[in-house]
Amino acid sequence: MNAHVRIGDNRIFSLKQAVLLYQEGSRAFATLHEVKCRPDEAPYLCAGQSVTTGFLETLATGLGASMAAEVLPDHVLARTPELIAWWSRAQRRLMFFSDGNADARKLNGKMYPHPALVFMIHGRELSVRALAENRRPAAATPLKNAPYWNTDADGRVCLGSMRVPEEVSVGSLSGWEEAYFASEFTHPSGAVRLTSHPLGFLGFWSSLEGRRHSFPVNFLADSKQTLQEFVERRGEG
Amino acid sequence: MSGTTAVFGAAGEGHRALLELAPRPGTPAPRTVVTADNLMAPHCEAVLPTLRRIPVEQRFLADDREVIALAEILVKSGIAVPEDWAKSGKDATKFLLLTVQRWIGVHGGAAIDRRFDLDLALADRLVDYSDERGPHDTLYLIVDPEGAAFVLLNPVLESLTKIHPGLPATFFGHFVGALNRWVRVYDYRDAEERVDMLREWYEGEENPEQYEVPDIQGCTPRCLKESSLSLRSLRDLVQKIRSREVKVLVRGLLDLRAIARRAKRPEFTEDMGDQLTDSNPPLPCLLAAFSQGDAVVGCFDDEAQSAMETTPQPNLIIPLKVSDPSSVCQGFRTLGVACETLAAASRLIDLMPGNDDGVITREEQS
Repeated sequence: MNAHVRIGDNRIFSLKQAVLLYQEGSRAFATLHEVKCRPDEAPYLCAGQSVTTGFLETLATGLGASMAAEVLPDHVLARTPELIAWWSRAQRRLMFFSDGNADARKLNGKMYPHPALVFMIHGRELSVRALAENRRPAAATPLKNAPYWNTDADGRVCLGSMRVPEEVSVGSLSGWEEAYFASEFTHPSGAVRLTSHPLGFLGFWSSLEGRRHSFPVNFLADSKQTLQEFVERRGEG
Repeated sequence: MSGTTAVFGAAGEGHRALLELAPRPGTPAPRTVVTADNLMAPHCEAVLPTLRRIPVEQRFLADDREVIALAEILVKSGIAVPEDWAKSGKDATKFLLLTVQRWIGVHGGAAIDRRFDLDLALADRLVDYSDERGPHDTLYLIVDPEGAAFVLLNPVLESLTKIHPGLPATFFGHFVGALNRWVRVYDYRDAEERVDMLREWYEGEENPEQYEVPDIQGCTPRCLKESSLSLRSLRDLVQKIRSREVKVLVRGLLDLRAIARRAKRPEFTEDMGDQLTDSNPPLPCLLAAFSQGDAVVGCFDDEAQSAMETTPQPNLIIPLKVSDPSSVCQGFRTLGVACETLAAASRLIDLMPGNDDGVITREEQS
């Protein structure tokens, strides 16, 4: 009887199989071998069999590179097993700031106009960029830095205690977006130009307080990145 | 050099991490004499690397508190052996694994492995990939098959008929009944249920007479329709049986029955049900067929196609309350009885004629 212990995250992984790669010039093949163990002796490999596409699919599934089939709505921009990117229209949103900064405290809990945004989840990591135009971006569309604290130069969001959804799927995207704006902006993340407004970040948002009309996109800072570069760079990780 | 070439370069090119090649046997010869070994090109052969310095185990450790609490109870109660602590590399999870393996071993592990292909998990949840664990403080011993064992019944039933007309039905009832106390056995009654269900499905269709279903009744021996003997009659009968083979068989059956009843199967609780909502029935640990490839096997194969569509219920779930040492001891005792039942069944199948093929060969542990 094979015994296993699976308590909490503790796991004991035993060597079961090995893949050997053989190469000659640009051609290669792989063989899959069972690993046998005998008491007090070195383990050894049994005769191999050619690695099949089916095996690679099983391996990829085991390593988490699988996802359920989903019908993608219009606002989804890119999807891989590890990554999902979507855009959100310009709109008025409530913003929360922590009371650690007196100037920020004055901005807390008020409605502000926001630009169109591009969100991306890679693994459990959230990134956000801004758009100069309120329409679905194309691959070559230049992106702007998201004008928010807790968001670094690469667009990565420090999640902190943000209550994000458990799952990453098309159905959970609005939950991620809501979680982002429901949490407090507490501090700038690293050296990042959040706005080109002459009064800086806090001055800029103060000027937008209660503003009814659209977000002034001319104060967005350039991210030096297109949408394609944004998703590709995260996709590499 | 490309990255790929650097990784798979030939041995001896530098200090790269390469697998050690198995030593090639050479011909010992004096240095001054040119040997055939040096004149001839080396013959073509595949040389597999040995894994002498390759770790065969990797451990991922997080929170050990529950594991340590359980290990402590098992040591104090004498279920775990302190010597295994050194063997485990002072790792509590590995220590528990060794303890479970040892416990299975002393409760008939070798006999079980001869016929059954089973997994035993000590886990904090019933569904491995679930995010939700069981209630706080509760762990489970879970038994499930890796594949179904196989037993062929016709030869043994035929030999028993010659002794007493009621003996085949009695044998079948006790054999399957004892095992079913602990794990699921798939027999002709499961196949009949399957056939009934298939009939219901196609009765609403056009031309239902065109559908064919496995003929379970046709393959079921008539002797199973006879009345079973009472336990007392069976014990009396065994004294009178002259055939040594049949006598051993019936004694094995009585042993199996008695062992299976040494403990009570734990109840299926509400929290188990919560973790196993929308699950399929347990996967059978044993397929009891009358002959090779009969209608029972056909139904089993048919059901197997969809058995894993949703998570199957475990065959046996034994809860352990880590805050209650007596619950842990009771749980391990119960596991011991389940293992001994399986071991007794395995030994009994060894005695049943026509079952030489169902032995699982395990040369080495893979």
